[in-house]
Amino acid sequence: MQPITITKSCQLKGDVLTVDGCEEPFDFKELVADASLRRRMSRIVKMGVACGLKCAEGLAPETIDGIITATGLGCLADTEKFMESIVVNNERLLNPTPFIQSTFNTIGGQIALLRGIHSYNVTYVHRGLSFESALIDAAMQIAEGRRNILLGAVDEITPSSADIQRRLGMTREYELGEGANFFLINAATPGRHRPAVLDIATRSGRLTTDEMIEWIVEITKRNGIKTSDLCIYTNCDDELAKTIDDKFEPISITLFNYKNCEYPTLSARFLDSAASDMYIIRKDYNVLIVNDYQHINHSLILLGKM
Amino acid sequence: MEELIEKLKGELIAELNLEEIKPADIDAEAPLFGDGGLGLDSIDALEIILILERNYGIKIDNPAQGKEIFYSVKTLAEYITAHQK
Repeated sequence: MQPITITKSCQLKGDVLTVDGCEEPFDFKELVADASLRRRMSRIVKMGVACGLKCAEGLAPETIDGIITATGLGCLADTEKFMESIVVNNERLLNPTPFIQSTFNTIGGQIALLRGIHSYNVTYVHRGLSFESALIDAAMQIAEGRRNILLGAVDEITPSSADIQRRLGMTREYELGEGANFFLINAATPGRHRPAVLDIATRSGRLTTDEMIEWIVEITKRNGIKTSDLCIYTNCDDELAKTIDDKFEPISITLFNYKNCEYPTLSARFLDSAASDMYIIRKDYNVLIVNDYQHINHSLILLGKM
Repeated sequence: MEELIEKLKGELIAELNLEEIKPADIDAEAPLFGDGGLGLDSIDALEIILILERNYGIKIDNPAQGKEIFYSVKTLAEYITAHQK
């Protein structure tokens, strides 16, 4: 694939907004001045919109050639409100607001409306690989000549969805988390010393440790990078992390404690951490993000500096 | 009538998520839509129709009357008083 640069990386976790890894104060009322728009936004919409607007700050709307968002479960609170209203009101007299706000593309749509961005606008909902699909699309848009792409990932947790996931046995090992990330992506031009995505690969279904190792070897080989020259960011389990460490002897392994925070677009948070570290450390090295979402959705994202 | 006006203000705040507004801030005679009042829009109009149907059992038969009925909290209260069975 043609490399793409991460020019800006914004993250909202709780009330803390970071830009390129540094905390920045923000006032949502200033970001969204229209009170009637604000009052209709649920928590996830506010999170995503704040993060996206901050990422697009300073850019003229006509220079943003696309907004690509990813979400595993979408705007859950509004979806729950809408479904509850279907039951309570016997499928009649349904409130329009939760219906409008519950659609997956609400966040991408709101950012476009607020900033007057009339370009390509798509949301990917591909379970644990939603963010990876959005990232691949962003890379393809850049390869086709688009300049700036606003790439985001948002997921929220609500008490009832946590309860359902627990009852389904999905969270036996995990605590659920949430977050919003946005990235400003453009074509990689050498000499800028910004983090760049060099390659992405995805797979679904359970993989053995040997298959994961083989896959990592494959992606590094095709990019001409030695596994011992990598900094690895991963949420994989202890067994796989130990095998990676023993087999490849990488520069470092940053283990995200998946047991404390799991959500479908968590890999966007890994990308933010890796990109922010690369920007702050100002040294040339490669990063491999190894995402092992619930041992079912896997991705490898290779980063370098350009 | 005063009691109904206060009740309506509470229902509007709750249903339309007017989180930064208190009942006392709403002038019962001020326009609900457009400038100079609450600044509500067409989605809010749909929400108010639902408040009338669900909470008061009132259906607006003639949509052309909407502009007069939805002008203010007071006109809404007057319409409810005149049409509630």
